[in-house]
Amino acid sequence: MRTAALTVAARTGWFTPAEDELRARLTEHLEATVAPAVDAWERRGTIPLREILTGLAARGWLGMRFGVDQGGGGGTAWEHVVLAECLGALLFDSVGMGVTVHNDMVAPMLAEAGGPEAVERFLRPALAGRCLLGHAVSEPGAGADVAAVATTATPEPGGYRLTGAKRWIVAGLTADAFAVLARLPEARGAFGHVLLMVPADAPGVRVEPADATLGLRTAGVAGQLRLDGVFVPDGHRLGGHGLGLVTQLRQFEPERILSACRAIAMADTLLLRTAERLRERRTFGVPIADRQQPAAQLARLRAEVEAVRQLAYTGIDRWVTGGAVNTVSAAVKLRSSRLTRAVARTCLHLHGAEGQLSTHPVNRAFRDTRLLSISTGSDEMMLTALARLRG
Amino acid sequence: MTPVTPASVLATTVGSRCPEGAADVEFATRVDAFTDRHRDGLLAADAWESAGPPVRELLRAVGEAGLLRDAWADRGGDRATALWRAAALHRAFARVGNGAPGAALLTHLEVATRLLGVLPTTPAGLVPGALAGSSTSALAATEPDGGSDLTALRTTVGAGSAGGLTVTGTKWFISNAPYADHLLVLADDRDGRTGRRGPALLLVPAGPGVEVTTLDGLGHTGLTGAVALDAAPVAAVLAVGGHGLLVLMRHWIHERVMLAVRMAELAASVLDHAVADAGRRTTFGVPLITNQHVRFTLARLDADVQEVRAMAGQSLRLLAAGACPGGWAAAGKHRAAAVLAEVADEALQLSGGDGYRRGHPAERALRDATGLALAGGTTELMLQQIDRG
Ligand SMILES: Cc1cc2nc3c(=O)[nH]c(=O)nc-3n(C[C@H](O)[C@H](O)[C@H](O)COP(=O)(O)OP(=O)(O)OC[C@H]3O[C@@H](n4cnc5c(N)ncnc54)[C@H](O)[C@@H]3O)c2cc1C
Ligand SMILES: Cc1cc2nc3c(=O)[nH]c(=O)nc-3n(C[C@H](O)[C@H](O)[C@H](O)COP(=O)(O)OP(=O)(O)OC[C@H]3O[C@@H](n4cnc5c(N)ncnc54)[C@H](O)[C@@H]3O)c2cc1C
Repeated sequence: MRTAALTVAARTGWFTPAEDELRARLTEHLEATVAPAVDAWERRGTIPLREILTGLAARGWLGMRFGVDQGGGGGTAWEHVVLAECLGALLFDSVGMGVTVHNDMVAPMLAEAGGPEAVERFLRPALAGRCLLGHAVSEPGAGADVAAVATTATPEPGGYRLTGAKRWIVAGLTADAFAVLARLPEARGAFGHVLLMVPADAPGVRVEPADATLGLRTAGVAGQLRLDGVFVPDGHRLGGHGLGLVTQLRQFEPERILSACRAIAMADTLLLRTAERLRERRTFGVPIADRQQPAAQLARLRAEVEAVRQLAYTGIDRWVTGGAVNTVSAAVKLRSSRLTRAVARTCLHLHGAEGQLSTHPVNRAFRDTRLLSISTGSDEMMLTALARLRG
Repeated sequence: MTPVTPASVLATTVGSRCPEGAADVEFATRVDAFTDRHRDGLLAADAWESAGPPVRELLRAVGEAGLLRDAWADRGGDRATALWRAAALHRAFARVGNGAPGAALLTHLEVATRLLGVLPTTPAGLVPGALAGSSTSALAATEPDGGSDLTALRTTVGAGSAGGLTVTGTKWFISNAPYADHLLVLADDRDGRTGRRGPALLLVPAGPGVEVTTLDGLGHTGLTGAVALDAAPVAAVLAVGGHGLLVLMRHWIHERVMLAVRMAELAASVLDHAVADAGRRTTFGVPLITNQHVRFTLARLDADVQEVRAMAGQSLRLLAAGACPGGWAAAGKHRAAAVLAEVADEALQLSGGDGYRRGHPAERALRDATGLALAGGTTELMLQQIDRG
């Protein structure tokens, strides 16, 4: 597939020359520092997320959209789109997801709902790559149904006493601090939660590794985060008392559009790599790429990738200009997750036996992308949201 | 029930990088006034289920309202403004009369008039007449023996009396042909009578030597015709031999983008109807829409519709900049056609027997969608085009 023209067309009007330059430099950086090490990290079973984050921070590429007064770059979400797309193009979502959780899931809540103490203690060091952030929302009894968290924050003078267990935390094994969603003992419903920042070394915090998973094998996923009477000062609360769930849900909406950008970039890269492979690989004397059926399969998916990408950019634009993003966010999260999985499935197949090797990038992408439809709002939750918005 | 976000909401606010510029409220208001005025008359769905829908009357009315003229960029005119107005027109027409009148309007403005407008040898007066809505033309390329492969033309150029040229052959599935004053005929110039050999594009008045019969197709009721050309006199050579197909290749980028704009909105309109209907219908004592399967089906389609709308917007931006690759236009056209077909099929299903009734919005859309996956370039050809970039 000769898609250079399509890539130019897809980006026309959306990015500034400065952002194009950022993309070039980020790509170069990731190609030099991450791509060559992927195999070794996979064998070892972990990625050096802290080094990766410090490397990005040193070049001013973390928190590009946050205020300079908070340690950010004073830019816009479009720069985060560039980062998300460069991460996707790596086809290595242990890194992609790890950076995203840190930079686009927890950091935004600190920047937008954190008080001065939380900003100084967590956000500023995080944007310098020194404080690694994890996101602890899910529990054994609360996944899709976020509001059902049982972890309880009991108010006491000057703060909260936190008790409970969180499940599934990306980078949880190495994180320095966690954003924890907990319920208040007395309250029920949407206004009965708090979001608290918990340092990993606070007394009463214990992290346990997760069982092996299909994908995201080197993301340092914690299976359990045990919180046993952990004291959290008021200054480490994000958003108001009782507004934890609201703060959390508000953060999810724009983040899903950025995650969609990362997913679409994965799909884009998979299609390019597969087309290249089919041009090289010959059967019955002819490159497989010259056969109509596989070419049509890739072209069909290419059309979807380009269309969904336009929806993502439309959503980012609406977010940046202050419009409502709830509908577009749910739509693009749903479409990008399902589409990227379909792309990964097809590309895996078109790689033949080679694709079955678990060390092959297409194999890893197939495993990693399966999570897209489950995490940060499953497909079914996106459908629920869309249906609700429809009345 | 909330309708799908109106396309105008995609329009710009300060600092926006969205393709769509500031909403052209004045033009949109005039379009709305037009569709409101003619909703129960010229634009009524029933009128477009007959073998003789009021195509000429509609074009005349749209022309007299100045809507065609104002959606047209002259050489050097503001191309972007005109394109977005044309898009607004096609979107509005996708939402009236089950979308059927919009098909005739799109053929008129974006196929025939557009081609005449870009070709230098078009006789004076034809384009102004088309923009006034007093005359229309049709592009006759497809033949019973082949549409995808237009190099295999059987229609040929001949010599007429008094040194003029003629064409002889058969065309079919020609949109608006039954209502056309002129045909733009693609014909093989085997003897180089136009100056060079190969496919030529010729302007043929609907008169002696031209016989048009309305086709009875699955969709596009009364809108397509078969054309028998028997030494029909040629009024002008629009593209000499060998250039006819090249002209059409360039033209199809434009046509496919506009088709995608219309199909995206048609899908949105059918989906809105389906959502409203599922809210009204009651089964097992509760509204149909309370069932999760139904809600999820509609929600999934809603996401698809948002996607093809966004794609169409970017395609318009690229078209306005003169930078739309053929592969991009093909991707947009194919995807919009696929989503329209899917929406129509599911919407019909969720309306049950009522949806199966002739003239139901989903039923009409399902029939039209089958034709839209062929017209303007088939799905298979679009996929090949995407592959080429
Ligand atoms: C590798 C990995 C990393 C993760 N990282 C994090 C992290 O960093 N932080 C964090 O907080 N969480 C994390 N998660 C957890 C993830 O967010 C949850 O798995 C997700 O929210 C789904 O919750 P669940 O697994 O409990 O599924 P459940 O809620 O039990 O749902 C099971 C299935 O049923 C569907 N379903 C649920 N309710 C309905 C309904 N009403 N109608 C229709 N279908 C429904 C769901 O969509 C899902 O498909 C991670 C998970 C994994 C596997
Ligand atoms: C509603 C409607 C309006 C139309 N309006 C016009 C008009 O205004 N002017 C005009 O000139 N034509 C018009 N057409 C005709 C349309 O352009 C043709 O139908 C189309 O180009 C396909 O040509 P065909 O029907 O001859 O199919 P064929 O070329 O015979 O193809 C049959 C099928 O095979 C597929 N196919 C063909 N070649 C290949 C290949 N190499 N590889 C894989 N698959 C292949 C095609 O995609 C198609 O699905 C219209 C058609 C419809 C239905």
